[in-house]
Amino acid sequence: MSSLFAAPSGLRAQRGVAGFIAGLSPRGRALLIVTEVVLLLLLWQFLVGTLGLVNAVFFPPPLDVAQGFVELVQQGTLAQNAAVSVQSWLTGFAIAVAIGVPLGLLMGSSVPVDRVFGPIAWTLYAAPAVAYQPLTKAWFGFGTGPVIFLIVISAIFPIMLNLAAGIRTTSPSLIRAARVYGGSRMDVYRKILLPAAVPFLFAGLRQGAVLATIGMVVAELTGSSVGMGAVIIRSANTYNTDQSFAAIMLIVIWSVSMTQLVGLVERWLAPWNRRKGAAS
Amino acid sequence: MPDSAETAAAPLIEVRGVTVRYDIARTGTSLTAVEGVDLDIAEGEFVTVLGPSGCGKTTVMNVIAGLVKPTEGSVTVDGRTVTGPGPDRAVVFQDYALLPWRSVFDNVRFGLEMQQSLNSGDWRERVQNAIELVGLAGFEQSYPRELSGGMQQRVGLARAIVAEPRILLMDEPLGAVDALTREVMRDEIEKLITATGKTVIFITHSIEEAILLGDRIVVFKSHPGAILEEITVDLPRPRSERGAQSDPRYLELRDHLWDVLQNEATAASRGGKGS
Amino acid sequence: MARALEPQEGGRLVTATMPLKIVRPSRSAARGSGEGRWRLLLAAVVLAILLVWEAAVSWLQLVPAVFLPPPTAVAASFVELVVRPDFWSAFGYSLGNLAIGVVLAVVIGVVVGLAVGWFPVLRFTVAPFLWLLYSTPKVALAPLIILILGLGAASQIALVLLLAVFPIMLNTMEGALTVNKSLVNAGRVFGANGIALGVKVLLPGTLPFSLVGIQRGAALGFTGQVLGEFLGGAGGLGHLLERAAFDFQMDDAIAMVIVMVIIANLTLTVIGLLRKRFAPWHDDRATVKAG
Repeated sequence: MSSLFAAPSGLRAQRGVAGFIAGLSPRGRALLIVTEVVLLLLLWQFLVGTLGLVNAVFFPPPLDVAQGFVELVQQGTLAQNAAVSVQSWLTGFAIAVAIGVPLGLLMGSSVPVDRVFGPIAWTLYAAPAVAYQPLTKAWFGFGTGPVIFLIVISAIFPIMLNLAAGIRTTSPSLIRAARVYGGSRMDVYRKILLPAAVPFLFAGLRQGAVLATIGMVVAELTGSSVGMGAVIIRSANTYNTDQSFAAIMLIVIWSVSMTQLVGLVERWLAPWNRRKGAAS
Repeated sequence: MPDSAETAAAPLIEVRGVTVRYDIARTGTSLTAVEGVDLDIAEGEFVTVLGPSGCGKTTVMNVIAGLVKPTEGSVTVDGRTVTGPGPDRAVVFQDYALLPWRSVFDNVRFGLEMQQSLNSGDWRERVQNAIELVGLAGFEQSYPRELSGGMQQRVGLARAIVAEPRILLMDEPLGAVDALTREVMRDEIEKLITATGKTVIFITHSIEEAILLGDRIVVFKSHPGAILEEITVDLPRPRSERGAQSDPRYLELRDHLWDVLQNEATAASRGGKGS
Repeated sequence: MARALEPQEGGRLVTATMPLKIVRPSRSAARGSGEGRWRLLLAAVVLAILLVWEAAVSWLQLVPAVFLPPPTAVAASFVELVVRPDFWSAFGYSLGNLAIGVVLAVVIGVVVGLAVGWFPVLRFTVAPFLWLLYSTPKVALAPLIILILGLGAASQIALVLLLAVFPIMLNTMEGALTVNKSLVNAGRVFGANGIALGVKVLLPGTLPFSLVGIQRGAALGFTGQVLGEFLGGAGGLGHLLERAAFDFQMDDAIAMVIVMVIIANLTLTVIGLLRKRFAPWHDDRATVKAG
């Protein structure tokens, strides 16, 4: 959502509605978007719920989805399955970070490792992680094992490859400056390369968080009896699509929260990198 | 080996027959960036190096800084051959090369910290002094991205002088600064540095800067980079305040340098050596 | 020209789908003779890995071959697989659906992306939604799509389209925005207007961005196709893979995964070549920097 609230920078004079919107403050524009969302939900409720233009099973109106959410909570389905999903996600993401960061550092700082390990990593990263799902099902059974494995496989490559790219693309002029002022190889690594790679690391973590969620959903949809993905499948198969939509909304909220959380940690750890007008 | 008694008369920096070639692996050929450069610079001298873009003047500076090893020839500073960067030489970079994750104060401290200079108890004072000297008092905790280009280069300057090096190497330090700030900073650099008596090599492609700052101007040509001419400037200092720009000697020098560079540019384009 | 195309804006680097994209650092240094040596080393390392794998399973029997068949068994299955006619029909089915979905995504993505990037009103009202949708895990909608469109090709194509369209749309939009700023004014100065402006300035200026999006979109679309087949559908590579794993034919299953890895990499390479062909001036490295 990087340019969500960014100021317009077109050179053309803005007129009419666009000009009005362009003149709004970031807060004003955020308010506008919220208003739009509310209007859209109202319209959806009216068209599907009241007029019945579309089959409500396929596109349950907002109030039905809210009802579905309440049902999920009352049955205890939500607490039980959300806990499983959150646990898998956190475990998988932690493993991906624990393996991806050291490997990324190694790839970034050693040319041989980069040249040999890099192509292998890029090749595996290019393939959709979902392809590994049937193998993991055979290896780990039907528990949360395959889910965690798929989360790890989904999140590890962006973390590793971004970090390595960050170290590799550090401005040569910063390295020169460090050498001029007496920096040893160790100094260059510690004082230049590592801090310079921090924004890349966080870009990788954000990307990893999004892909981890996708990996989790895919794994839970295709081979798990517990977790939010399983809830979606079960409710959809029994035509309780209001519950499916409620579960999907929760996953979306989780995904957005996690990327925002990574952004928050970045702003806290790397305040120098704060960009004006950029949300993430 | 000359010892210190003899070097009083000998130049501080001696550049002897420096040639730098780069191998281009892709085509299997090599590119000569500079060829046979000889240059003596005395202690306390302010030398401006003038030349068109890509004429290798930065390469010569990098050799003196110890960042580039010459293919042939050598550089000695105070009688010792340069094999790498050292605390006696500081560099001000054209693109500032400030660490974006450090505040102004910490960026200036960077000039000290890797030379174990932080062990001496007064380093905070030295950093603060350098910041005040370049006129950045009050901006100690700002990050580089919050500063204008001119202010960022002031940080670069403070970082260079904080460790009190004998030699300042300045690679088109005002090249990326806007025109107005450029003039102001040029005059400040003249006052600041001539007062400290440092030896300076200042690279520029501005004729005006070369004349107003230099005790001596070294004119470079390109393809390959080599020294074309050396001119001593004997205008009284501080030049900007004394209205050097209207001095007939200034005007004469300016026209002469203009002609030299113009001829060089025409010759180069006739030679058809585009790159 | 090339300068103006760099997607840089006030020091902030913008490529629409940046959070989901990494650019390989260029290998400017040590090109040439060194490259061959690295390839050799890479081949040696891959060979060594295969050897250790083979040794661990076949000779030392540290891992039961039922779980992890040795490379030789996988290679044998792979050879067997590529001569099977049902493999090729599955291959055609999957790639056909993928192609239809991606082409639809390109058409919709480019049209909507250009429109939203071009008209300020849409940019302020619609673009935020697109960003929001882009960052949500749309795979979660898969069961509902299957519920609506039924098991089979239609739902798979829809899934491919859904996953592929957003990166294409947002990259095109970002491209149109970038072009909008500088090139269009240049075009106007030289008298280009209306259709000429679109054909000569807007489209070529946006193309490199769209191609970046298409590359990403195709990769995501492949995920959509495979997922669609896992969740319900006959025919297709994903279905074949799932059946092999279900029957515990692990050598077949791994060979299928390798096929998919090859397809994915080939697709990306082809689009990468297209990018080089149609937008050689576009500097990829400018899009990485801070995320």
